[in-house]
Amino acid sequence: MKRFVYILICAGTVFSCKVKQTKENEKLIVCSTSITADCVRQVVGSKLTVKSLMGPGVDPHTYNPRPSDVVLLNDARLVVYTGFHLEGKMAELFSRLSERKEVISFQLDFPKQRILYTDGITPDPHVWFDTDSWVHGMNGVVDKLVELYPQYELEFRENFYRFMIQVQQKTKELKQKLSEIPEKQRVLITSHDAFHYFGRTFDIRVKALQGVSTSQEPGMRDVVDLVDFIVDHKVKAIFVENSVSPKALKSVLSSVERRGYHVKIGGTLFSDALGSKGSGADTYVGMLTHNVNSIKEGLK
Amino acid sequence: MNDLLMILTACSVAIPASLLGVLLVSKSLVMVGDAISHAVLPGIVVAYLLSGTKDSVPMLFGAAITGFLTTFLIDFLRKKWRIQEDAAIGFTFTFLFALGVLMIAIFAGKNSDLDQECVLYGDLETSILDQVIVGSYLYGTRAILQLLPLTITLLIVIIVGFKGWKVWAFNPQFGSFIGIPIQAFQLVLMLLLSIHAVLSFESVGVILVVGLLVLPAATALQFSGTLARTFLYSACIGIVSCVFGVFLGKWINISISPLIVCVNGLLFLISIFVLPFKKSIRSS
Repeated sequence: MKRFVYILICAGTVFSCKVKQTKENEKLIVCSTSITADCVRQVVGSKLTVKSLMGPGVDPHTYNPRPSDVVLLNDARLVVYTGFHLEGKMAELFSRLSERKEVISFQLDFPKQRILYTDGITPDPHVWFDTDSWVHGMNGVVDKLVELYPQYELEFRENFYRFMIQVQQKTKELKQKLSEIPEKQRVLITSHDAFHYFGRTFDIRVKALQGVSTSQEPGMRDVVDLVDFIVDHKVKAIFVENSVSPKALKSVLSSVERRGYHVKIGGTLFSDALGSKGSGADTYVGMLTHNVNSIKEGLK
Repeated sequence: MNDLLMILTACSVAIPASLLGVLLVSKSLVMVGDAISHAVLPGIVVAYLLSGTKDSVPMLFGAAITGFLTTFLIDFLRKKWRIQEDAAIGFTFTFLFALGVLMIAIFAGKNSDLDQECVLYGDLETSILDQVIVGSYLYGTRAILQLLPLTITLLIVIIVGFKGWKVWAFNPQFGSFIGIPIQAFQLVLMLLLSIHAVLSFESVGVILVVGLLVLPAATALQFSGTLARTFLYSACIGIVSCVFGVFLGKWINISISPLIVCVNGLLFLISIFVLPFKKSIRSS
């Protein structure tokens, strides 16, 4: 028996191999969504490489990891994700990864009293639209970055401070812009329920066809209710999202038309993912600006 | 390094599957294999609900029990109620599987680790990232470490009982006549099959695991004469399909497990088309 154990240990040492980080992987930070990636990028600047698993326009609720993600996650020094179950089944993957890797979520330092709950228990995961709390939630991530790369501490803190001010100013400016729409018309209708925080931050009424996660299909009742609402309130425009198929929303559009009322599609909003490079919505602040501009344009 | 780990993880599922598959295909028990890999689902869910973890030990018990239950239920329906075999199999596994899906939907809740999609299609990528590291030494993924003992057991069972398996597969009447416990062989196979189904359901899912069971064995049977060679070829085909699947998956950057099954299907098709040539060469 003893000999058997020895053999096992020997075999184990032969077949195991040392885990080591190469020099370039030492600086690799992998984020789940493009939104988290951009926020981290604002802090680390050009000092570290930041990559995101989900590219522009990818829906995080139903995302499945691909082979390239395996390589990225395996090599990363730090893995950053949103939390609040935004990443659906990836959440389990992250929690398993945290047993052997540095993993941190924006959820950690997000102020608890600012969380909205959809049915009393499940938190609404689209927290980045509550801009102040989101930036506050970044504190934990920045602390982790400083802990891992103490040599850049000053720079990271400075970048973060600058980013915070920028977001605060932009929020104020955008709020002002939206408040120019008369209050009765200030209703935002989208395909999935991603804009509750947005509505609270920018003072706009929010309605959606699907629930908080895109994985649930809208029922007949949801469509009828929404059509009634649009006709009753004479809503001028409804909005599609870049990461959600517009099919369901189109059916609402034609139902409204059948009732003899016309509502237009007010452009594409960026909810769960940023836009592609050059679209103007490829950064967090750019995305907020784009959304507010489209809403204002549509509801004017 | 990453590639090797991916291939090894895929192989750890594919090798035992292709070995078990040979036994299933040569005895035309493929549908029973299909049935068992689906029917373990309620067992997995009950074990998960009772233990609250995805640890393998309670899951193995749950699966072994449902595996046996399935075999008995099929036999019972067939012999006692005189229902034809395919109908009995069809009834048993769809019923048990549906029960499992319902149980996930009702009890396991929205935020649980078990979700239907994962159970159906599996997720090799996630299981590759689930690595066992002790003191900065990497020992492999959890899937490899779980399935390796099963593979070794399976190899021992096949080698030690090789003659028995031969009789069991091709001449059971003769076997019972000379006193070989044919029923026991069948039960051992079903037990190993349900254990394999449980250990691999996270990586490949219940639908695709049937492909890994059937296809390499069917391909191997096309061009090998003896049972021993069929085992060897089948395992080799399983490994080759994993290598191709992983590299294709990395190249196109899509899910690996369906690709592995696709590669297996292609190999089977090729074997069908190539075989007549080979035969005609031999005869001429």
